Amino acid sequence: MSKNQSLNFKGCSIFRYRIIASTLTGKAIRISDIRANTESPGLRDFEASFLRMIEKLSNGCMIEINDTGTKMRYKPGVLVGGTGLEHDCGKTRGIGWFLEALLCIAPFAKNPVAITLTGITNEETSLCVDTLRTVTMPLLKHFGISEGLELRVLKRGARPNGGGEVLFRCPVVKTLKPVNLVNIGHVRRVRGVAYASKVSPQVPNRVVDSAKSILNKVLPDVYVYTDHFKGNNAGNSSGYGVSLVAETTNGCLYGAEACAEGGQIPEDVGLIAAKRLLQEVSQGGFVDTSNQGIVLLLAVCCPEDVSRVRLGRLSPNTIKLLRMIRDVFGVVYRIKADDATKSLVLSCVGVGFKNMAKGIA
Amino acid sequence: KSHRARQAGSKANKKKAKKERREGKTLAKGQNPRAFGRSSAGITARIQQARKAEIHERKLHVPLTDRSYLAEDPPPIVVAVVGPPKVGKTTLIRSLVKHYTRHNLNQVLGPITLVSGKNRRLTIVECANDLASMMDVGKSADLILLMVDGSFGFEMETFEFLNILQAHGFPKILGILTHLDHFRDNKKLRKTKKRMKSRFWTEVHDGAKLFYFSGLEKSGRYPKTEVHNLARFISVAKFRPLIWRNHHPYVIADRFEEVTDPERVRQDPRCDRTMYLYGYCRGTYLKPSQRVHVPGVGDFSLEAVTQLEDPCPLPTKNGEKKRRTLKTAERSIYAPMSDVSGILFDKDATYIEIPDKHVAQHSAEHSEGVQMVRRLQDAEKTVDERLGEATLQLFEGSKKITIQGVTFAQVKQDKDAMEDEDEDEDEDEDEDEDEEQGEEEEENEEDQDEEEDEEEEDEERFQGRMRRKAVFLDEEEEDDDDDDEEGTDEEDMSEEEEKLRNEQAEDEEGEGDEGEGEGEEEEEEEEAHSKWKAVLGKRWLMNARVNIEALVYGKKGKRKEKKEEKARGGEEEEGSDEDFFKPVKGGRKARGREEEEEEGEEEELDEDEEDLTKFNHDEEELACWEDAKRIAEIRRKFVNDETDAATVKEAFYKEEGGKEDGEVAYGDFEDLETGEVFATGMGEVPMNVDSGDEEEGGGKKKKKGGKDTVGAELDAQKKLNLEEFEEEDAETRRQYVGFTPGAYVRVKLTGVPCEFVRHFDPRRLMVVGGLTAQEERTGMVQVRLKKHRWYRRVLKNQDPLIVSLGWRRFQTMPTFSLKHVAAGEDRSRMIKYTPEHMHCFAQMLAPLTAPGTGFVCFQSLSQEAAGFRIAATGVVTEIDGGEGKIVKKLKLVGEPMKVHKNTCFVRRMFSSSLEVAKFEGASIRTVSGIRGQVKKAVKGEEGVFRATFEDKVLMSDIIFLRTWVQVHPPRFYNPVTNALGKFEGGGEEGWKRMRTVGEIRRAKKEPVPVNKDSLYKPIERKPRVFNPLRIPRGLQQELPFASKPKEEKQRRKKLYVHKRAVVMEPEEKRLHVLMHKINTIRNDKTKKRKEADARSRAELAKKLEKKNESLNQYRKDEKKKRFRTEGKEAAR
Repeated sequence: MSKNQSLNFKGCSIFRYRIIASTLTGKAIRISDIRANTESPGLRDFEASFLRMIEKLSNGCMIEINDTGTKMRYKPGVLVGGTGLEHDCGKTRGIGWFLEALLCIAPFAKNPVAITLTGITNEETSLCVDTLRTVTMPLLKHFGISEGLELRVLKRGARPNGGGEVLFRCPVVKTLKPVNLVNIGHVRRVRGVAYASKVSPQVPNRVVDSAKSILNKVLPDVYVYTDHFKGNNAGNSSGYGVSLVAETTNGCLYGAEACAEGGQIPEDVGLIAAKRLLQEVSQGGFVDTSNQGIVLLLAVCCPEDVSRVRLGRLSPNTIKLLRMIRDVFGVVYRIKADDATKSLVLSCVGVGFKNMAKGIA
Repeated sequence: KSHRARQAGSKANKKKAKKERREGKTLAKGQNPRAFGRSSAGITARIQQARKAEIHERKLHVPLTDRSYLAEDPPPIVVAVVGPPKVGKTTLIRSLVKHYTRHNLNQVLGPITLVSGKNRRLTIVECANDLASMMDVGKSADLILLMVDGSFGFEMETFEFLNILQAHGFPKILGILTHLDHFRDNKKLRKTKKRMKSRFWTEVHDGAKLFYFSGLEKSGRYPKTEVHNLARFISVAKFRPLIWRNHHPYVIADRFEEVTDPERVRQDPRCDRTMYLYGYCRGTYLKPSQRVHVPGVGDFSLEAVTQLEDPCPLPTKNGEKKRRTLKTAERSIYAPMSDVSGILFDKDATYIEIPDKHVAQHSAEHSEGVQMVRRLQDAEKTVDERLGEATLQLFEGSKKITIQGVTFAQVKQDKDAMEDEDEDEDEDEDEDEDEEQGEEEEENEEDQDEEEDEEEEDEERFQGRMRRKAVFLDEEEEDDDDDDEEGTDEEDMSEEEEKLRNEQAEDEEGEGDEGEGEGEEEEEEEEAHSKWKAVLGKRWLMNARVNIEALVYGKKGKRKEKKEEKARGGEEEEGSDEDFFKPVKGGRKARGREEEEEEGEEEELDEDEEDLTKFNHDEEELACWEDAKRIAEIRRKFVNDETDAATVKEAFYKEEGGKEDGEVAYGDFEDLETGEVFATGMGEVPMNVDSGDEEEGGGKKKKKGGKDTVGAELDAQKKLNLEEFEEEDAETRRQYVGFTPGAYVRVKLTGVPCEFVRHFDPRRLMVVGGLTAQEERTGMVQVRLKKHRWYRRVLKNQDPLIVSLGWRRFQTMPTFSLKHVAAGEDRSRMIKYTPEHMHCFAQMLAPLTAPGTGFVCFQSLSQEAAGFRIAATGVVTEIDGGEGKIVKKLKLVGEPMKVHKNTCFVRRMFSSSLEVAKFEGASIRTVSGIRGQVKKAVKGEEGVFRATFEDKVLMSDIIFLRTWVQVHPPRFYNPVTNALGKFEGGGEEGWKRMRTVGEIRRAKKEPVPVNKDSLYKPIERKPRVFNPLRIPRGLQQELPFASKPKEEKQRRKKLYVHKRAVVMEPEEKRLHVLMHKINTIRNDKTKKRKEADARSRAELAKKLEKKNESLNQYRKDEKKKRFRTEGKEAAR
């Protein structure tokens, strides 16, 4: 029993999911050749920060990284969770990057998790906290994680200096509920948040107008809130953007977001977000492309029941994740192409996962 | 013919009315309903109501997950026959076997599977009398036939077994009393029966079925009617789902085969072995890559799992008209280790017993066939080696052609030819092969005519041969390969081709011929990525319908190999041949994400790609949304003026795959907004309600309340579970879900210790228990534990204890603790011994197991241990990555060095200022009760610190600091590997346990060490002499009178007052005398009364004592009773 071989991986792709899968199954992993062929090899600061966060949440985990950072070993402990935790996510990756992973493991901790994350709340490379709050977190409800799940944006923080702060609370569950996310329905409304910090309060309005200019062509029920932060709550840098959510008659949610980058005008940002939303709707999965991973991972962590989910297009990350799931959990997804709707129906049998950390009485 | 009561008509009505009136449902005519109603509001009514409600509430429970529906044919029910030796277990099994199959069993070895009814099979196992066997049986049996010797009474083992069962989930139990023919006296028999039944009921549950078996028949079996009666109860037994077994797959092995390379065994007789275990898959899905635990042996990875043809199938249902009983042909029995019908499977051979009369003795002259076989046996080299050396010269002077130059097609033909030759000769191997082929081959089928069949056959031969090591060079690989029956035939073929070619390539130093026609698959694979590029171009990924899985998971046939490789560590991945033949891919980074996505062969994706899940679509892709046409197209996906309800509905069904026709589609459309629209009874649509709309539909359902909703959800899920993979063929389905319970599988285990094989005994139950991913590692586990009330001794802290938890049993050293929740503190304090009648907590190194799992502890498994052997039972409460916080009290003692007013310098408590620094601010106390605080270390003097107190302390005081120190539970884990020893009926044959401290001391004859300081000594307290208080005279004079000392000095000389004589007057004297007399009389009276009082008091005390005695006895009994019920309550 002690001679448990560890799983081997290469490269830094789907780093978070590898760590998560290892933590959930309790199998040790070894990752080698992390950016071995690049100019700056090894783990980056955000990955190290991620490992630190995992360390904070768990008890008895062991992390070993070699000198160059190209190899690491991770022996998971027991997820303890707890309240009053704090973590600084740094300025290279948004808080969303960390939160995504947290959403997968926090329900399986021993104690409910309440963690304050500081850093960049909105950026272009990772999901912004608004989308996580409005799209990803409602997704967890399908798995039976609902009461006590909360994400509160305390401060906004844009690139490059961040300074944002969010409070994330998550309850613990004994087991997940298998899901059957197949029937999409029709998009009945679009909601969203146009946020801005340290810029003119007019900016979000302009973003909203441009987004609505496209969306109103297909749907009358479009309402985008504006959320303007100033002063102490606006973080260290100025920035703005928009996060849109399309909700269908069957409760499936598509998220799309755009965050202003240098040189963009507010109208462009709104247009891009709207187009992304249309693109997601046209692809026709039950979840949008960015959230495929979470759903697929959680579906595997269900009791030994069949879970089904309809996806549009598989992102390369998702494909990698599917392979990783096969290697770690031993679960192969059945992928059925639905020609009529040009979508894929993925189904699997859960591994009979239980939250072992949660004690009785 | 009996009388048929009227069903209708006036007479029937009259009778019905009368009956109702009698039952009080309706009132007679003219009766006032108020007068004849139930007397309401009375206390009895309320009590009744409450009781009814309570009973109703008690019936409600969260439905347990029952996964027995997963099996197409449910696996045979495991019937375990348990009881002490000489109770008649084997006789019972033989009687049952005879009853079910009309078969006379000579010996009972290993599990016996038989068909007991039209849709029920049984696997009968016999449980040996040792604790290890009992544990295994308790964990795996569905039905227990608990046998008790009626003439002797219950034995300790029976109770031990029942307690083991309680810890591992209580399966169904039927009791059987035997040896009842020993009773001569009928009354005694009756009384014994009654007594034993009541005892049995208290142990199992009220109303548990107990059978009484009288003596044996002449045949040496139990009387037919009695066995028949028992069989009927077995056939109708229903089973409650047991949580552990519904979450874990397991196989009870009924056959065992060692397949280690004999050469390796010859070289090193102690080398690890490879073996096959055969049995029905039970519990949940058995995943091919699962880790398993074999109790008594250890943990293994499933090397390969193969589904075989059911050796004991249920009678086929279709085609036959309904029959009440089984046909004789259908009463099959499968007991490979028990020597049924002359066939006996041993660990390394199969024996067929042929009675002498059937054997015709031949003379020394062998037939031609036999001679040929002999010749083949004598051959020095294998056919292939010879073939490899053979040369062929087509033209004179031309180069000789060797096997290396021949293409695969030729080789294959040759092989076929060889195979054909062999086929005639290898007849005695048929059994073996049948087992292996099972999957594809029908048993009685002649398989010569069809081509496909021949191919199959070919392959099987190929495999069969490989195991005996003759054909190919690289044996190890081949051996692995033949277990890989997962892939379809074609793929297997292609794999073999590939392998063959690889070998050739090696021989030719990489000349790399690609073959002619056959290499297609291979080519396809090699050029996969370029092809995919070409084919897919800019199309959506999902359009490539067939290959979508291949894109994600890589080639089908390869999948499994890869998986194994990866799981094993993947180090050799780089060097493997496969990679060698793949083109090296360069410039991955240059390519965009989009492209990568489209070429989907395994390992195509960049491993160093940044981990970003947010998917930002390309600019070009998004640009199309400028186009009004695109937008018009997508409008149908939204709810707007264009899409009215009907079109939404229609579109929905189109989306579903156009299965339903229009008419149905318009069926029961209601409301668009609520999402309840599609909740019709069609296909998968109802599922939609469960998950699709949590807000609306879910909310409504919850209002209906509790159980029904849960039940409906479970039903829907059950339906989905059954239907989802229904359309796939068996092999594909297996890949998604694993082996369904009920499948007969062969499991390959490698690295099994040689002792297991050497000491293999079919009487020992072999269970292969599947583990979930989380259960593979060990860690600190917190449990709630209670010493068994029948165990003689209390358990000592950190003494080794054998624990049976989950599938495993192991020895570990628990650290006991109790939770102390006082003054806001929440700490677990270590205790030295388990409490007598209470639960306590324990922390131990154990395999991580789900909280709520029960376990049972022993100090020793050996038979020698007298008395009840179950030391404790308990349940896992928590698992913890680190060591839990168990603490014990620590008192640091110091003494004053210098005392100022309220300040004191303390020494000898710490040895360095660093230690002091750690305790700054800690509260301290003197023995006399003065409280204080640690302030700061004194510079220069190590370990001395300044402390302040609420009062001045004395130099003679002792100062102490109360603190807690963490206890580190010992990390000791010793798996019980009793199956590695010879089976002797003991519990721990091949295994040596760690002894307890007491045992070691007893063995070494060492006394218990005594700490002198801990002994109690009589306390000597010198009376303290205080100096008198002296007030200086000057001060005295100034004091106010009230404060002046009033005592006068004792005078040396008496004063006149004391010295003078007193003479009484006569009158005075008379009075004095009288008074004296009166006093004397009164004193006498008082004395007498006192004596009388004392007497009566003594009498009363005596009486009271007597009374108390009986009262105390009563109280003691009550207490015992209470603890017992509480204990039972807690154990439940």
